Amino acid sequence: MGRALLAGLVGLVALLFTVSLLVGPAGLAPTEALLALIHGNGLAETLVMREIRLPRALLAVLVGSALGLAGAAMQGYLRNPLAEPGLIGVSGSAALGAVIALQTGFAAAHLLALPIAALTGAVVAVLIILALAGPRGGSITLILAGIAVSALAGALTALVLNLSPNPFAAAEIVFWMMGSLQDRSMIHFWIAAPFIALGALLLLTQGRKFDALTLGEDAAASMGVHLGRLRLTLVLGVASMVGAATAVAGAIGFVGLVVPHILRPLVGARPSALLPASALGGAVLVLMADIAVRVILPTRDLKLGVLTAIVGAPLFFHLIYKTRMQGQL
Amino acid sequence: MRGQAITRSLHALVLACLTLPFGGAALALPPQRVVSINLCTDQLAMLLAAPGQLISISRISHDPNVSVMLEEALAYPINYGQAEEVFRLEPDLVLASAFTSPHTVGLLSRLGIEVAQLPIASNLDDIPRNIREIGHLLGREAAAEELVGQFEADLAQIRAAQPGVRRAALHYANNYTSGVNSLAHEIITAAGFENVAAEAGLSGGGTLPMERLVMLMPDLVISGQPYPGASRSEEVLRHPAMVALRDRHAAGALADAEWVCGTPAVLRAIMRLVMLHDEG
Amino acid sequence: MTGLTLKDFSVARGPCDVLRDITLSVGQGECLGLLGPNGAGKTTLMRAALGLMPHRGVSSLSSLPPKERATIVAWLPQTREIAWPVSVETLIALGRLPHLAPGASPAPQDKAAIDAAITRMGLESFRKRIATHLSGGEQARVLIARALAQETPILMVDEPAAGLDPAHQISLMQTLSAQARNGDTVIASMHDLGLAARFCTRLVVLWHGGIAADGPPQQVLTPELLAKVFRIRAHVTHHADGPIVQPVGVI
Repeated sequence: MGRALLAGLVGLVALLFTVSLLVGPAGLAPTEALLALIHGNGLAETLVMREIRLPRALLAVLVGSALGLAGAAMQGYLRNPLAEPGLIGVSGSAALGAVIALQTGFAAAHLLALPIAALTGAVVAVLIILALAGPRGGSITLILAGIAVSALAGALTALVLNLSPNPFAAAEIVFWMMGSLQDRSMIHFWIAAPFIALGALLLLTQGRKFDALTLGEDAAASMGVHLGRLRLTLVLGVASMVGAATAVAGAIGFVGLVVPHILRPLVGARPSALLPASALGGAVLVLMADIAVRVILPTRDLKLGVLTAIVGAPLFFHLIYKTRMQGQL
Repeated sequence: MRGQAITRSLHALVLACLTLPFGGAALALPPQRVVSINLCTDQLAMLLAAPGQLISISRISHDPNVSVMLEEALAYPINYGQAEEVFRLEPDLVLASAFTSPHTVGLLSRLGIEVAQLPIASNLDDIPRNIREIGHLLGREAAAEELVGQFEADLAQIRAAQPGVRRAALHYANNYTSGVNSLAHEIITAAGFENVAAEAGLSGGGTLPMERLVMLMPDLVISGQPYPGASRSEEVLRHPAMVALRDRHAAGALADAEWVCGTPAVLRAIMRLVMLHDEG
Repeated sequence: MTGLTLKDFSVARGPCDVLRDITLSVGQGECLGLLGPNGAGKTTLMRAALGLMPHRGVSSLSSLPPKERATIVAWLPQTREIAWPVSVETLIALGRLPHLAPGASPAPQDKAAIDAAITRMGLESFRKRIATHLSGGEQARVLIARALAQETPILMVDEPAAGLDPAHQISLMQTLSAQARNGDTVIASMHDLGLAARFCTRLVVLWHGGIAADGPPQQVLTPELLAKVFRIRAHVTHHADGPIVQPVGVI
């Protein structure tokens, strides 16, 4: 079951990745596009494929897997299906960090300053959330803490952008809050990839500890799980992935909520099995959303977060309702 | 879109009633205290006004990024274009653009101040018209005619030396570009280039996806000038695909302050492009 | 080493000691019932002894590295938490986590331990059911099976019988005492004096931060001690099935 699911998801990612490469306003025929990508046939075609579409498709995979995995890991740690980096303000705080780095010129001075600043913003948010919501992550405290962190991060992001001497900056609050992969380049891919790879490594190796946490903190600790170390690993892993993803793509919400929710029954609800599946599922969702924004409104930069919210918000309502029915809220 | 257009024409109608019709500003005496609240009227007024006639220009004229007449502008006090502060200057004429906020214009008119709104120049022929109109408003018709004469002679000279056809693209933040019916298009074509945005069917200003711009393979990419501070909108100017396009031409070109207003400064923009054309 | 040894063992909560200078040794084959009124420190004693909370003095378990400790003692907390809708089998298999090398999948002996625990708790028909869909009592049995599947020489359980129907209470206590008869050490905190008296080989009564009594049930559960510590009157009789303690009133 597990293997088949993962293989299926890998296949789906590969398929959507190819579709993503073939969608765009340049109007290239599929064979022409792939020849240009692989062999570099035609200067214009090669530039379009290698410098515009390839980074976009690669970033969709990277950002999607980061958000899916971070969501599954936070939920595994807090044992709460509502824990999602976007909803609880981690992405918003990462965006704030990124905006500060950009507007202070720090990001222009050092290549890695942008992801590191976003990571720092995300770390602060995760620490605040964990401190406010407590280790068990009760739904009410988690959501309230998330609202507070999101609102503050959003307001400060708007403030920083409004204070910018650049007339375009103020209008970009939408990008930072909703996310987009339009006109990204391989540079963005390369600055995000190491952080996301590091975060994935940190989180994917914690699967059994999240499994043990199914029985509660005390039982997990008695089974040899070092809770303090797990918490630190989670904070770093989530912040590293969400920070880097947000730094290059803006805050894309709901991916970490929708993907684990759909996949959980398919992996028998085991948190460890959910981690790799959610990483792949996140890539599938973001690839689909990024293809959809180009097909639905090809000439406008429709934000990815708009689509993921349209899919994710009803599910979020459902989860809140279900949580209330179970008397946990 | 339709609704907006209607609202806009309603505004225009209201303004036409409130402000004096542009051509009807035939006052017995030329205005003595002229305040300009728009970058483009600032420039024409500075070129044409009699000494002491222009008492204030807009803040933006002191911004080195967009002002083509910075040195002259620094000699004038600036205003922020707000009705209240403009009113305190006791002007007998306020120069504004057709794009100036209707609220500001309406308020000043209700306060009994004459506001003249200069239309936007969307082609080179609008420039003599605008010069003459400002000259007329300021009672400086002779100076205006002299400036128009010089401008038309220079333009004719540039146009006389039409070289072979090469293709250029304007590329601003957010992949914004200009097609036909824009001053920028006229600048490009006057310099002997074909505007690829026009090939793509764009009229006026609008966005052209980067992919399409790359596929059009312009010989020259004329980039918008980045503002201080950072923005994601301007990151497209440094996108590797655009850099690769620009690298095919020996020298890049920048659409800067000289491209903004319909004043004789556009001739300098055209000349710089002509030189690039000849080099390339 | 097996069993549990505590020496000069104290646990503080804030400025006050909840437990003071406890010295206790529990050996193989013992089924120890930990008694005491609410707040006497039963849970605290077990958690601190495991090293899950700070303490002073010596505990033979808390001094072990956590990974090694997890193969020696299984701990069943009082809060019965099952966070995700996993199958009963998956949940019980969690007991094998301390025995798995990193990245290794369950070996035949792990599967055998899981099967044995399922059989011991009579959960064969629940194997594929979703654990969170079961009743409270059924969930309690599943969680005990998880602790049994851990196959440790020491089993420490907090209020294992709470919420079970009489038949399952008795069969649970039989399981625990059988575990002790096989040579393991069982330490269980309990409120039901009757069950404790019947199934434990030894009772320790915690009171005012110390040990008020320690010994076989019939020696510990005297009317005097019940009056002093629990403030109750009780009939204590001896029967062929073992001692019978029936509280009858509050003092």
